Amino acid sequence: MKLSLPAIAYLAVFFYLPFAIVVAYGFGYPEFTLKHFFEIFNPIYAQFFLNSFIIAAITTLLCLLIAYPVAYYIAVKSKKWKNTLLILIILPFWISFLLRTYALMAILSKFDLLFTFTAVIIGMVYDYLPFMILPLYASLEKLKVSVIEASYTLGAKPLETFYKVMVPLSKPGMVAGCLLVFVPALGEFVVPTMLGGVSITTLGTLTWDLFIKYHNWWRGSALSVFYMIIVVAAILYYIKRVGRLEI
Amino acid sequence: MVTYAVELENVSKHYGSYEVLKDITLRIRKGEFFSILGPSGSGKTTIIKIIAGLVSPDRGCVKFNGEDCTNKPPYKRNIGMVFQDLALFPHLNVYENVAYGLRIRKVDEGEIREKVFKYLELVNLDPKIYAKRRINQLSGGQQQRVAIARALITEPSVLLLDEPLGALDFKVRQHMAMELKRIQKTVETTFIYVTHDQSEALTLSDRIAVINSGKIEQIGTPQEIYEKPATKFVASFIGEMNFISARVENGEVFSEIGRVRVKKLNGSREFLISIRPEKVRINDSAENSFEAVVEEVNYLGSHLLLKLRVGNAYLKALTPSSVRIKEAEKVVAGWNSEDAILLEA
Repeated sequence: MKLSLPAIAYLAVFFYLPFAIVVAYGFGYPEFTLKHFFEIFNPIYAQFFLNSFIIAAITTLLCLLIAYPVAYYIAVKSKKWKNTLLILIILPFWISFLLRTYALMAILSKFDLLFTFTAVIIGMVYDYLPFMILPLYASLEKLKVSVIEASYTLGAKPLETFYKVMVPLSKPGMVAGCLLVFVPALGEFVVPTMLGGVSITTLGTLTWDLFIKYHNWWRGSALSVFYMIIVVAAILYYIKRVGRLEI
Repeated sequence: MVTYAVELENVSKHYGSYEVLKDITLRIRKGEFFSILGPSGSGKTTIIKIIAGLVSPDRGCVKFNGEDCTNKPPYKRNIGMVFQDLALFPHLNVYENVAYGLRIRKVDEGEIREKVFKYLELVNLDPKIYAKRRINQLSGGQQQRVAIARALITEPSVLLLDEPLGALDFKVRQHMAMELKRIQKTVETTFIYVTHDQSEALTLSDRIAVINSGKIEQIGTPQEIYEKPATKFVASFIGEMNFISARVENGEVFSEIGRVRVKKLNGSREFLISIRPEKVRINDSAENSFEAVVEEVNYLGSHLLLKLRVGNAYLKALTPSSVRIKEAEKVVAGWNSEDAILLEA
């Protein structure tokens, strides 16, 4: 217990305390009001919400489509290959996220894609793909190949087998992967800013602007708290789902 | 011309440099309980997967009812399969597992219900109690029954069973084997049963193919396989067998324990005389008799299994336990030449 104090103190000073301040500002510190929460639902911000939502949704969908075959491929490989392939998937994590995004800027500008919507999607998918592959892999690994074969012998074609057997059995992984990608993608700031430039505005860039450009800590805080509520709700939904699916 | 339920013609398969199957030819009759018997790693599971279409052969062809199906995918073959690990769908309950094949075939709900109940009853699972159960709420034997019902409900032309009893306890295993026989008699479907258990194969099958290292050693009825094994492998894999090496010199047969009489020579100069332990006669007149010393007596209940030393060789003998024999006793052991099988050395 005593040995955990440094960690708790560290979190308290650098996370809970700042977050408490953000919450306080969100409620209008030094006053107490809910008006800042109403302000963020102003129609002029609708575009920011919509952009964030569209980017997060497209990123999640693309990650799911790309990750599923990869995760399945790794799951059915022999143990020796599995570990090698999994290391290859998490290899990008060993290099700083910022550094990788800078590198991506250089690459995308070669193709005249930098500061476009496409560039943002490419960057987002690249950054979030492992978060989709890993939970999908964990679910698919438990799926026995013989169950798929059984479906074939019962007359089901590959596509029917996919919908009737593989999708239901890998649902926990799909739900986990989608949440792990969608939620942070919704609040992503670095990728849209660096790869999208000023043309792509999202919740992340809006929060930055409110705090840094307009010094409107109250509205910025209200937005942060609102985003936090979405995150917590998503996580609670997931826990409920997972509990029901018995993993 | 007879059409067979399943035919394999000159089927070969290799994985990398490892040859799993070498030129396999099998003809399985309609309505037959056919077993493929062999030790683990002999290629028997590969044979059944080739029949199912889950593995494609390198060479050779697979026919169903005389029609070449080598390139047909499993979902077009009208087969049923019971897997080694059963492979039940863990996300579906008993009812939905059994109904799966019919749902794929878009059968209407009323008929599905009727058939699911019929097949659950066939495998002795009360649908009223078990239909709504989850798979993990069933015992091993019950899961077995669900897997059989699921595989039979589509009325396949052939049911493939890949060591389905392997995971069960001995008692349940024996009981389920008898159940399989009963079910096969009821539905009259061709059963192809893969096993490494010789006693299961002998009791259940109409015919058996014994396979070793990817090659067929012998195909025959249980009696033929047991009483007239074609190779040393078959003789030693099925039941117990004594082997005595022998050679022919000037028309006379000399074995490692002395001169013997054999029924007829097969032309080779060196061969093995094989005698089942139950054919070894103790203190009884026999064409070939030798003095022996009892080295071991194993009490098996109804019988005694004796280990006899004859010169430098050993013989196993099975004798009713009513015969009182003690260790170190001197006996006369022998056999009649008609009870001996001559095999290539």
